[in-house]
Amino acid sequence: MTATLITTILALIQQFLPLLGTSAATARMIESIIVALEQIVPLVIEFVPVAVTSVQNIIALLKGDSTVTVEQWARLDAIDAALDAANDQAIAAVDPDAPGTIVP
Amino acid sequence: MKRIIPIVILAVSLGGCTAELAKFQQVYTVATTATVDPSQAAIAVSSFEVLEAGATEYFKYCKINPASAACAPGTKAVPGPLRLAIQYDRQGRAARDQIKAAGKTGQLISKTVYNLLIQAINNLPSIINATGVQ
Repeated sequence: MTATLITTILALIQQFLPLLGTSAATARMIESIIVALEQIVPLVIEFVPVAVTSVQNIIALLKGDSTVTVEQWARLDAIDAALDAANDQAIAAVDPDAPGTIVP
Repeated sequence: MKRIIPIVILAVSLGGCTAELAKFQQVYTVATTATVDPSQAAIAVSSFEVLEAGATEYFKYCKINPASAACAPGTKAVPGPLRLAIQYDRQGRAARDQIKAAGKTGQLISKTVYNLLIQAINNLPSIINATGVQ
């Protein structure tokens, strides 16, 4: 259920993106999409890792939009970093060569 | 004829809630030119990012199933799948970051960096899929 919901939301966002223009309404829409991504990414990491590529695509498309502000760009970078952080965390939990681990 | 022909076939399946693992099949050709166009490298970057998510799930699986043969660490001298997965994951991420940085400034990507990413992409799937988690 969660997975279906998340993939549906991401698919909807991806359909909206090509329709973005340069109006004030577009600026509001971009802000809404970024807020949605910020809220949805932790769920994607936890429940729908296969949807990461959709998130990456949306981030890439938004970064290509000239109306995205510097502040919004930084937030998109932070979302990107959250995906890497999940990877770092998963590696740290099993890395046999991590500091403090007895290496065979 | 283009010297670099990346062909990507990503077959992704979503399993249960406990240990989802993506399945990948891909064939990538290493670069033979000194530099690679960022737009070409971007394709490999996208593929790696899908794999990175799959690798994250693999590591979570190994945390829960440390005795699984697919998660054997091996030794530093003779690394097992776990150590190899960590190595390729880190190698791919480092190369991807360099490619992304170069992409922002429009610089060409060195063959060395691109091929490190390709090596990671070509080796990670078999390790991840060996867990057999559906």
